[in-house]
Amino acid sequence: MNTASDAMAKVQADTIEAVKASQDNMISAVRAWSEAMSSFTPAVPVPGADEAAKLFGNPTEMMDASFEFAAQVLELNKKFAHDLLAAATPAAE
Amino acid sequence: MKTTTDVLSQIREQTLEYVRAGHEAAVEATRSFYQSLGQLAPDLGPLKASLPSGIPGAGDARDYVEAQFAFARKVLEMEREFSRKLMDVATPKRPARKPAQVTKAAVVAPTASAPAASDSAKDDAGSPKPVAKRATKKATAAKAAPAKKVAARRAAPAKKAAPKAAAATDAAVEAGAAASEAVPGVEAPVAPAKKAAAKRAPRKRATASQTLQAAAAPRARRTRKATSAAAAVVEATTPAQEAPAEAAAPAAPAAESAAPADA
Repeated sequence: MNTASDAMAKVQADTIEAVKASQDNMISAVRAWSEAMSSFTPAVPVPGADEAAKLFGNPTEMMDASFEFAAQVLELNKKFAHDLLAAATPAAE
Repeated sequence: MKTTTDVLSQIREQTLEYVRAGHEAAVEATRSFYQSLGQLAPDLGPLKASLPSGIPGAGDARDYVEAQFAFARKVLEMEREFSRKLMDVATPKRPARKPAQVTKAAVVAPTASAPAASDSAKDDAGSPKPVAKRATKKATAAKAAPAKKVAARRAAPAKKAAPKAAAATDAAVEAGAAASEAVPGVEAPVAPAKKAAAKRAPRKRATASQTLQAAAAPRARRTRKATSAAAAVVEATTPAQEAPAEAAAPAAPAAESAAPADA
């Protein structure tokens, strides 16, 4: 039986598949571009790269920290939603 | 000392605290509102039945919220993985330098008595000492080669001319001597020939060694030249030989004229 929950789950799964396919295509394009350009251009040192690395740290670490923060915010919102539902339930009952 | 990463981490922690505090305040306000509403109107009567109990067919509201946040969590994880892959792919992959060659060359380079087969390894290593030596050798050879060529080019005519001049001088002397022996009155022309040879000789003046070389030249050549020079001198001096004959000729008629007288 197709309920609203099932329809919503299907929509979510399709969305995730679409996002995943889009990301894969994007990664393939960037990989091809990077390989093509690296064969044409010499290894030019980026000015100030060392200072930036000392100042901000490893880019991968920075990205992980940002996504960790986003995940924590998401968890807080989830908790908030549950708490709000719990607070509003007595009136609904 | 606080770095930028520490500052950013602190900012995130404070942001999370503010968000958490705001959520707690909102939840408390909602709870207070509904408690107050329940106290003011404990029984809503027919109005209560008309209030929606939830989304039809959506099940429990908690499950719905859970599913939506699970989806959001999944999307966030996908974004995170996508960013990692993108960062890995966007970093240009360049061929790393070959440390093996450098190590091998560093080991080979200090040995000065290495065989010739290890020269390529030395070249790869770029060790300064052998390369500098070779470069100096090459440069010296390159500089010396044209100088040698020029010197040889300059010396070649002198080498060729010196024996010729010496031979010519000798030939002239010999020719003069021969001519003087053959014709006693021809000593005079020999002197100019000597002078001419002496004049020509300083132009192509030969060194002592070159003269010795010329002296050591094959005797036949010198003899041939001397013969030809002597022939030339003889030809040049032929009128001088005839002159005395002519000078002696008038004496003959005189004798002839004297003869009839005697007769």
